[in-house]
Amino acid sequence: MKPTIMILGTYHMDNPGADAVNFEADDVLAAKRQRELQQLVEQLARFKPTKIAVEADTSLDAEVNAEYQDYLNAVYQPGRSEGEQVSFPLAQKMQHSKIYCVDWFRKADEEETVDVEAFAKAHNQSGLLERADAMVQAMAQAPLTTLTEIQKTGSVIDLLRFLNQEETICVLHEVNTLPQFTLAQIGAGDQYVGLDWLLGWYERNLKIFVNLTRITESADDRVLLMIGAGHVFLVQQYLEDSGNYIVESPLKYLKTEDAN
Amino acid sequence: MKPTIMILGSGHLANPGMDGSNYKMDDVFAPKRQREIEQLVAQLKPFRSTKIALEADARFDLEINANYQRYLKGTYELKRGEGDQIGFRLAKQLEHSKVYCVDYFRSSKENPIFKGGIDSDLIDRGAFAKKHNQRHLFGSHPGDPGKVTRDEDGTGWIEPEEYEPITDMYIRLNQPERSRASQRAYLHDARIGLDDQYPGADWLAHIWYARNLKIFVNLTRITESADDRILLIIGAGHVFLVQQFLEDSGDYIVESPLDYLSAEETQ
Repeated sequence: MKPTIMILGTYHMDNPGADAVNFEADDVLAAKRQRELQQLVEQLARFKPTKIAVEADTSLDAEVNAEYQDYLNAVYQPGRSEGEQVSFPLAQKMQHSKIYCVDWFRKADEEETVDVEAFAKAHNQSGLLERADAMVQAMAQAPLTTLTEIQKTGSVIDLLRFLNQEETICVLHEVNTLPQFTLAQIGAGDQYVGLDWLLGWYERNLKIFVNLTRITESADDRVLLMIGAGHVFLVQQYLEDSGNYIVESPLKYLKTEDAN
Repeated sequence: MKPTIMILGSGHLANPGMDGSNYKMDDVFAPKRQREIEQLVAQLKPFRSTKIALEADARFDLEINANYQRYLKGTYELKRGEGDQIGFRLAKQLEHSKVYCVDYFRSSKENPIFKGGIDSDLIDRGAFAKKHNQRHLFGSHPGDPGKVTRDEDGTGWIEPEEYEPITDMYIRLNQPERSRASQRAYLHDARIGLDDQYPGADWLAHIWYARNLKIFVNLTRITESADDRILLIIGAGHVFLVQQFLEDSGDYIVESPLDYLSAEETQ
């Protein structure tokens, strides 16, 4: 018997604009979206999560949980992020005493970071940089267009159903990594300056995996991880490759018909 | 049209004892072993590699290629390592003018990562696991069949109980399930740590992933055209990640050595 983890790949409902290519979400506080979010919480509750893990750095654990306690005491108005809009009401519904922050998101020391663009220019490798940028834009276009189309008439659940399809998870992973393998080739001799981003990406997702193992206490645990859809492929791969978890897809819980 | 790479996951034929657990190879200079190696090389030949890449740090390139030149002239005796035994032999038969060193393997003092603010103590998984009672988190890497012994310095050796022909060994080492088991063990180790300390994940990301990513980059550096067919000979534990990077990059066709190796011919 192994613990179960379900990863719900999300978009960022508060539009932080943190990614290379960003989907513009409409107002999550609009009445229609709020009704859809209630339905989403109902549907996710059927997974019977014992713990909800969110994409917030572990260092924010105290802050996030102070907000969650205030939310339970009805003295905190949830912000627009998917963490607060979905995980707070769901955790409350499941009578969880806390929320788990499992991200590891630290800024690299600026002084130690080599200017990849300048290096590429100096070493006649700007072509690699241009090729990588063009790849990101070209590859991200299709999923972005689909999301924007779905948003026009569809619900939050429709958006999430699209994001969590196996094919979308793969495409978003490729958007994140494939151009980076081109960027990774920027370097010469003992210098591998283009590798830093890719290494940082693996490190972050490996540590998210490690943090999930740290919050897993028994085989009865059913952890729901809510995280940007671009992370799903790698975190799921680590969970599966580790052989220690049963990984469930959220697709069997997300039902479009309920939302209409 | 993309260039092709084939990774031959290898054992360390010279018994360098550099891994946590090491398969003890008997004398590869024995005539029977030499015949088996010749047979293995003959089986790899139809891949028609245009370049052979070896698990040696790029700083050894001059030295290794000086040896290879002497080998071509008949003035160099092959050493026991798989680079010499398999790489040199095959390269000569395919009339290659040189071999390629694509590893990145530095001691922690030379490794630039430690200048970047990573505390070397934090990456010492062994010491951390011992201190914090986490030795159970060390993953069990895919085993080789045989009897386990341990040196005075703690190095583990696996003494095979039955004679295994070389090609059989390479077929066993290159099974996809073995690569997956190896990755599973690395992910198991990644959990060593506590609170803000992640020596397991730091080692995995900054040492193991970094090394294999650099091997990937070095392979891209030696790739000159879509006609290139590169054979990489490397410790079997590297296969999973290097292959994943090559595939994820979308720039290579990756072939499996299992399509070339056949145990029957060696009987």
